Amino acid sequence: MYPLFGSPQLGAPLEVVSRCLFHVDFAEPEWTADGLLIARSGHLGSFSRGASLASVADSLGTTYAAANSQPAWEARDLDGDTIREAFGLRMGADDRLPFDDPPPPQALSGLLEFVETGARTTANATLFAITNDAVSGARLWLDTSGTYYRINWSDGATTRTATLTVGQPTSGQRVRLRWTLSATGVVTLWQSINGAAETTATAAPLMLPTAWASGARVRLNSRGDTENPAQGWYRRLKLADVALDVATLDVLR
Amino acid sequence: MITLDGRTLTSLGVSARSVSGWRDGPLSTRAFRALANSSGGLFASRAAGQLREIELTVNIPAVTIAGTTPVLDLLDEATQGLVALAFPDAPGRVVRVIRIGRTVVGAGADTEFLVPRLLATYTFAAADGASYDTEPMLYALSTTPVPIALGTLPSLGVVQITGAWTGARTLTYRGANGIAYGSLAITVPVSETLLGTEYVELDLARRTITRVGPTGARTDAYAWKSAGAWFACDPTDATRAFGQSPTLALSAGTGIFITRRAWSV
Repeated sequence: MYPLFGSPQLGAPLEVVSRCLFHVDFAEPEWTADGLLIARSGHLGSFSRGASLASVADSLGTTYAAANSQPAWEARDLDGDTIREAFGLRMGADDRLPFDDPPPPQALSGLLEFVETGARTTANATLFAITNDAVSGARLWLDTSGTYYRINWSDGATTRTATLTVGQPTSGQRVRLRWTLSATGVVTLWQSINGAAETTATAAPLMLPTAWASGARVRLNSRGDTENPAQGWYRRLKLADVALDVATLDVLR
Repeated sequence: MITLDGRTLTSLGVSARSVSGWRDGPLSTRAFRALANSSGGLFASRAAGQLREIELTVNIPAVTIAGTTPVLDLLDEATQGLVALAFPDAPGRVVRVIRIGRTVVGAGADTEFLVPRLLATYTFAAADGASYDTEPMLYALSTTPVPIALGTLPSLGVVQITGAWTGARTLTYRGANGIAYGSLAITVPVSETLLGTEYVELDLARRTITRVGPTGARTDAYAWKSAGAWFACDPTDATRAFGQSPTLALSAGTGIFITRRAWSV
């Protein structure tokens, strides 16, 4: 079938977008008029916090207290030159940020960049998840054993977990966690602290389901509606299809 | 290095050959009217910006004729929509452009089907010719004036005023010389109570005022604007040579200001 009068032109672009399965970069916060956070991939996130969050730093190092449901934007010095050049979202244990419409279970890669603020030592604190509110059924989540970060995925009955055995980030350290879920259901986790070489862990295969649990959402900083909150200074979260190396995943848009 | 939406040219399988226009700021025009019996005249108060064009030529190092097509397709995809271009002389800034043209020629004259190495020239146009910092700036506001770092163009942004308050609060913008060039007064109506768990958001670009409740519910509060006028933080109120910046302050309480510096190139 050919169109009668040629293909339509692309729409007028208003924002830089991403073709990743999911991509949010907190240096580019965009909001809908009713207060939903727009990820670069187009997903809409609903930010909430049931309490204030104190001691959030601005670009000059002056601190402020973020009110309930006020995103705690924070500027940080990531390259050690005392200039707070990096802009991100600081989240505490009361912060929730779920996005609707998660990508389906498939071979995929994930990348989460954040600054450790103490989540690692709280067992089950969950940085990222694709879960429903009740944390049941097929799901994927990135949490901590209390000692090391780990990636988990479950088909609803059986759970596979890949737990790092080396690398314990401490508060203030830059952490890059990335993971792959293969078509055969093998989940692998890599961690780099302050840009150093990665450490890794992997788990046994488990057949991928055809869908995540009903009501599943992409979540930052918690596992379900209330379960296992984490904390951290988050920079970006990215999900891409197929297993990608870190260099490709880093620049993929 | 040159990046397109953060992607290096290497990651797209090409290398830079030449670039032009990236150091040219957006042209602006301003009407001028001659005055009778005068050696001069008057500029109009408003200026109009023009389209800014940037041209990028890349080497496409394919080894077969057919091998060039996937590379060009990938480049087409990478240059679709609004593209954030960054250049090595200012890697922390981007100019957002759309592709308006693509020309592909052989690396030598009349050699398209003999030598598969190609040169592709992409012409981009920036409807907004300014460059912007990739990282927003964040300032905690209080009654103490805080200096606002600016680029070479005015910057807008979002102000969020936190805490429980009644009556009026005024946001005051002063030049580096201390003169108040702008102010906005927000008055909570006597029939309303603003809780400590809420905040009021002023969007200086969209010119909206929004009350955000404890659960994040947003309601229009434009009617709370009781005095003053919308303003922009303007680098003509700063002295770059001496590092002096304009300031923002609240008459009481605390808040934050989120902005992104803008540059003419």
